Amino acid sequence: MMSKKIKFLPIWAAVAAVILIAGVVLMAVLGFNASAALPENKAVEVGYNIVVSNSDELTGKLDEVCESAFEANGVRVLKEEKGTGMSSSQDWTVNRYLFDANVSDETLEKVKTAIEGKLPEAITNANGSAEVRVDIHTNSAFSFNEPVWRGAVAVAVGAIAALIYLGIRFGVGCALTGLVSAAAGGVLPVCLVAITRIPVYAEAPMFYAAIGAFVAVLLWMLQCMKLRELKKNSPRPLGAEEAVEVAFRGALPATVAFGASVAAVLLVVGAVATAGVRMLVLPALLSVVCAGFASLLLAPALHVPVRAAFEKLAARRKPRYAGKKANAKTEE
Amino acid sequence: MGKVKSAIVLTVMSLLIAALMIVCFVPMQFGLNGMKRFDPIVVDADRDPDLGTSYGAARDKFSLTQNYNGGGVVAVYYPEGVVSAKEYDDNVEGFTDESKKADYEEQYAPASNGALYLEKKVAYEGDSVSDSFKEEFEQGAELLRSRFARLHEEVRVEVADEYTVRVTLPRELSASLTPFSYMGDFTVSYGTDEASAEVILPYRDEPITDYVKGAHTRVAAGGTPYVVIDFTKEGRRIIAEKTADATENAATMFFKVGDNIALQLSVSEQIDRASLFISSSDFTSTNAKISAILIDTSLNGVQASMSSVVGDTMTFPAFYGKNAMLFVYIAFAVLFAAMLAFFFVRYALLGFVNLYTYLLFVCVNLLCVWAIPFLDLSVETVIAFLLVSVLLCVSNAVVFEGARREFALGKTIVSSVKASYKRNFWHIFDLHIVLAIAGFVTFGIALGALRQFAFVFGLGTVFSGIFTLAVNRLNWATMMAFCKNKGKFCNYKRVEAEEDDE
Repeated sequence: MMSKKIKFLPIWAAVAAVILIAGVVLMAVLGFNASAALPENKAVEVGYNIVVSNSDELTGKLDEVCESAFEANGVRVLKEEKGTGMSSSQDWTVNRYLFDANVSDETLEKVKTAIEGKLPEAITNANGSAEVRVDIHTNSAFSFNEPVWRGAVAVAVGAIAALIYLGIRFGVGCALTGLVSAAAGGVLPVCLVAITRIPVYAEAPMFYAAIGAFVAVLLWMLQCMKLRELKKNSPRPLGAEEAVEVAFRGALPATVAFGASVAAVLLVVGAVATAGVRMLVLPALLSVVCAGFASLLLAPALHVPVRAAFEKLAARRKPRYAGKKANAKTEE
Repeated sequence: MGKVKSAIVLTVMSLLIAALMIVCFVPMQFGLNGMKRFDPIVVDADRDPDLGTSYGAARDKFSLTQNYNGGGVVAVYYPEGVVSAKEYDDNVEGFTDESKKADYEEQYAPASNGALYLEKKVAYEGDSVSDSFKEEFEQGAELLRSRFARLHEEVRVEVADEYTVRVTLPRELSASLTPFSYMGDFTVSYGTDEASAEVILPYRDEPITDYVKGAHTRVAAGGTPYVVIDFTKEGRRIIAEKTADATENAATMFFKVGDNIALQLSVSEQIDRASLFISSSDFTSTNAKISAILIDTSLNGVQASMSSVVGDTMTFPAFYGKNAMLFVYIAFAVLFAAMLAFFFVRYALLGFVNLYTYLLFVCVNLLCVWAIPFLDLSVETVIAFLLVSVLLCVSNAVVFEGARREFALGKTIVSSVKASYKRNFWHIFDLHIVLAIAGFVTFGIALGALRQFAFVFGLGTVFSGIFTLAVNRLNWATMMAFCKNKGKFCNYKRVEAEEDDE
């Protein structure tokens, strides 16, 4: 059984490497799909005064006219916002429709013309007399990179700090494997987000990295605990392969319970929440999947050679402390 | 634990939980005709403006009548010589004299597909927009970006229609919109009024940074926020020299950015300090931060002299939707119900032990989010809280399962509980310590939403550890004291005994 685990190590490593390389290349070339935050967009703003906003019929007509103009010109609204004026323009309301930056100016001009052409008639039919104006805007957001790179450094340093404690309590071998597990749990979801082109908010990838790394450390620690228990309680010394296998099996129920619970939490929040929140929460499931991959497949397979190497090292050191010569001298 | 002691502890614990639940979750109206109201912690806690809701944020901090619906403020900065198409049209329509109207129209040229109009005298060189205007706008936009980036991580700054800057920010930060439009050189002047005040820094033609190092904020022990302005040795000497007669002739020191006053200080004694601490009675930490950023970026930021005005500001609803918070609460309720179902089905009345522990855990975490100034209720903090809730519940389940195994082997329930805690203590301790370290270290370095997520995760992990190892055990001991059949209370069975019977 255990030999299977080691046999699969190159496969798991290759899977991780492929995702990592593809993800890093895509991140470098295309970045993330930041369309969730619409960093580059075009907007059609339909502003109207209080006569419209006070009448449900007129607002309904206005929405209808706008939607039919968008549909007729084949443009898809990516986001809709409704703003109300403050201070000097309190009686003014603006419906803001956001489009992809690639939608041509000509198409939006047609949309504008269509809305401007149909609105007066719609308002008159609804017995209203309102002031309405339509404007087209092109927007390009500044990116705030500092939170992103600081987030990446923070997750990395946080995971390393946790692994130092792991090293002290469970041994350097466990910490090293944990480091690989945390790195895989943290980096792979970010790479998968880049590869799958899932729309994400600007800072969200670091949020996914944090969840992935933390969950991976947690799941790996459960196995480390079993390994330590085995060392204390086992009637005979176990080989690296056998110890890792027994620990893996022993920790499996708790590992699955933790992983499944975290996934369930994200799934429920994602399923119940509004579309905007869903866009933030559901991709975090990738973090749980990657953490599971890292701690249940990659880490145990990797820990067999790591543990064997550390055992070999410990065995080599032992004779130095035997102190036979000193004892012999005393006896003499 | 004896029955009397258990009864006392259980009563106190029940009252504590009930009181905390009311304080945290129950809004109340009282007084004549319900004129006075009590906002529970979940309502009073700061909220991420991206999350709109009516419950959980029932009363707007800015208005006593409207519900808080999250969202923010949007404003557009128009540089000198740039007007919106709406303003241009309104101005054109306002002319009754046709020749004046034609003159006005002649002065402006449409830009960016007619969304803006540029004043030719200011922005044009020949038939096209001048390079100097473009460069000035770029510098001004960059300065605005750097100011807002320092103010809040979630402020969105966009270049709109090539020559305006559009800013979206939480409503409580809208006080920054006008001051951040101030651009130009930073100067310190001193005199009885603004008009007659003499510029004392820069003293000669040297750059101002030879006299003033920068500005930042500090909060005194009593919570009073200050803007701290740091001077160089030379700057300190000149300030001391100029304010030498302040005891006899009180005056005011004006800290100006361009022609606008960023901050002013009444001086009634000589100032001879390396750092000047400035505050006033109506200062909030946000105001102090805005003033400090304004001064510091004027000293050490991009040099820009773009003169601009803030156009009409609009309020926009929450980014995630106006009922986003409500749905997050519904998700929490679903998970809470699932947790209850699991614990009551698997452990029978022992589910109450977990329930008591968890309710206390929820209230303590919520109180922390409310009390700690840099935390607010957001998707990230809720997710962090739910993750540590998983940690608490799984830790409790691990202890319960450990006791189940011990009980099945024939031990008494008391020794089973003791043995389970003894067996799992270091596991739970290590698990919580490692995650708390990861959370707090991440919090120390990260910014924005991740920072909040990491802090709540770290703090929640610490609470989870304490609640699993101490509070849950206490609850278990007190609740179990009243049961005759303790095994039945926990839904535990003795496996060996059953086999013997067979």
